[in-house]
Amino acid sequence: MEVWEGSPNMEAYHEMEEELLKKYHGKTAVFCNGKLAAIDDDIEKAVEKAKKVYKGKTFFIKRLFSVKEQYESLL
Amino acid sequence: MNCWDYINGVPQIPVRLMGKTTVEELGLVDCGATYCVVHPKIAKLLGLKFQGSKPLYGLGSIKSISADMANMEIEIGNLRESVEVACIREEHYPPMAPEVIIGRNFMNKYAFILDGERVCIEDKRILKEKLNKNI
Repeated sequence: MEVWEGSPNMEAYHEMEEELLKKYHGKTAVFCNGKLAAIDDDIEKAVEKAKKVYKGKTFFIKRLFSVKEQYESLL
Repeated sequence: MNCWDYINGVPQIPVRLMGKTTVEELGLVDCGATYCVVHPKIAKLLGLKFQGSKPLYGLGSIKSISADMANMEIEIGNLRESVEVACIREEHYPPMAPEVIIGRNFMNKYAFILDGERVCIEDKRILKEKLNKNI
């Protein structure tokens, strides 16, 4: 099973991942109700924006770094 | 049994962090981490109440770093556990590090299988029964 299967928010991110990493590298994307809800430099601000647009209480938060960048930063 | 494919060779799994907001994240499965780790800004969004701090080693640091500790419910697949999580302060959090790390204090409650292609999580008792049947 792919990690995004079963989560509309993660599926939406997966479909847009390449484009988002290219256009908004380093920013934070927030998804709600299976849609991209907000992008901002700051996690808190991105979620605040998303809450204004969507009434949902579940958010998928993804800082826009590639998997390679994220895991190499730990080594 | 819950199973997920690795992403680019990395064992990541979908997690739900339960707080005043529910946050979905991709968590890194890291058996080298004593505790589950949450980015401090995510901890703030969740409204976690810290119950002290502990010196921890890791996240690329050679010195111990102080982490604020809190209890939080984490849901992975159909499993939900309340575990102690470490919130590394932002000044010590590597800018590109994953927002959530699933450490041994969650992992040890279940049978985690990492085979280089997939992460699978099974109830320990059920896995033992399956293994005994195959012997």
